[in-house]
Amino acid sequence: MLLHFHNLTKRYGAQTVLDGITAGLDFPHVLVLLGPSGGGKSTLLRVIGGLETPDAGTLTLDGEPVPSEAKPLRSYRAGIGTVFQSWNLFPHLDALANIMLPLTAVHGLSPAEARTRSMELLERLHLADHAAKRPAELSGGQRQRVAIARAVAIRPRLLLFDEPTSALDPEMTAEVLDVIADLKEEGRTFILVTHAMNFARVVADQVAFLAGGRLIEYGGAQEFFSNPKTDTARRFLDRVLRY
Amino acid sequence: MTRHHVINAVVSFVLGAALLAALCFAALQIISWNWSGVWSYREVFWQGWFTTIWISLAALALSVLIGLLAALGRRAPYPALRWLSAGYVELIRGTPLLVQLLILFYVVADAVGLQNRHAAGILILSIFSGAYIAEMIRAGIESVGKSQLESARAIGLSRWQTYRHVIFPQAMRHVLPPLAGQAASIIKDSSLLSILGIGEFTLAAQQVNSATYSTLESYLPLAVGYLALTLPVSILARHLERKYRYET
Repeated sequence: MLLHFHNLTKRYGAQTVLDGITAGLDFPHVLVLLGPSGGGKSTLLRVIGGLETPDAGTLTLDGEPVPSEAKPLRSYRAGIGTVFQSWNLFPHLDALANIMLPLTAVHGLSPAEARTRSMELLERLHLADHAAKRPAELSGGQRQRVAIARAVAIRPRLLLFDEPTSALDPEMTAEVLDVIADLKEEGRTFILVTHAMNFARVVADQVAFLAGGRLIEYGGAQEFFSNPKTDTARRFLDRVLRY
Repeated sequence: MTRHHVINAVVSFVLGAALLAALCFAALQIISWNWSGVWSYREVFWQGWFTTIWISLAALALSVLIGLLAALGRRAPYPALRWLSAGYVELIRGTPLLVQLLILFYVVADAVGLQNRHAAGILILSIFSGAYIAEMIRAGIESVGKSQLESARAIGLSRWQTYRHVIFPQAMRHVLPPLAGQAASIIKDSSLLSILGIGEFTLAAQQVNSATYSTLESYLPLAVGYLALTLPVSILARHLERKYRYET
């Protein structure tokens, strides 16, 4: 997948979160966004997902510009699977209905087709027994796996993970990371924002390092972790990998 | 309901009934009752009571519709709609129902040629009640978290689909309990329609009173008749409140 940013800028009030990023990011399957908190990773991910509109600049995905008008933007978002830090499942729907809703309401599947596809996914994620449970009855790890199933079920062109394990304890983190690693095995394309450095190292093809709203460094994962080119990235890695 | 609640309810009921009986007994000593005179007018009571029921039901349905439109209007992307909805809610909630009845019935309904008393009465009661329901629905909608709306956006739901699949089902739990309370209010407020000459329960009791000159015998059944309608609704409201409070 080829992502191209040109002068991409996003401000919240007086604060500039993305500071005119111009870059071409070419990655086979998995791109990991790293960097200090407040550096712009999550905002960049949200701009890529069509959830935030940039104040200036453009963004293309495989050469296609991300639309800015409401209707094409909505179908653009519908083609991308987003997984949030706090899963954002619909609390009034059970696990199965959560996965089925985008399929029937947005992607035009019949309820029967949607049910079959959703149950297949639930079984693959070992969640079949929990299909009829609402999010409140599930553990954090189970919720996040349901959220991943919801994002994968639509057969997206791209998956986005926004710190998918930051709200989970270590055991649940592992069960969610296992699923994400499987997605890579299946050859899916995704962009991941995470603070789980060791996992990032294993799963990433390419790494983009952001700080202060700028893209500081971009390159292959092995290269980035063993031999970062910039001082900022080196200091960051020293800090987060110290313990 | 737990055993504790049942005992509480029974004790309160027995105490209340005993108090009422004592009052009636005391009254018996002072005044001479004329129940037989009133009894011959029981048909009038029944008709008024049933009129109150169907007027209230119609007004409840219509006011939910009006309230829903006003609540959506306050969240509309067009400023004119937002101001219109906000103005409606403030205007209605800031004036007494009696004043609204007088103005809307004798001035507005007259001017637009709305002749049917019942239709006019139901409409005015609904406009009044709709303003309160609008606020309940608005609060319910606003109780749905931002992350839910973001999730709806992320999966590509349209504005209407977001309301249908995400906002309304979640807002319902916040709206239903106060809405049941509002239903009881509508039943009570419908008594004011008697001043428009609508033959509902209160007007019926007034007619019996003027025919029999038995004031207490006419108005005691009136109070009991309203209670028979509002008590079950209040119990339903409290039941809904409890049910939804625990189901988070």
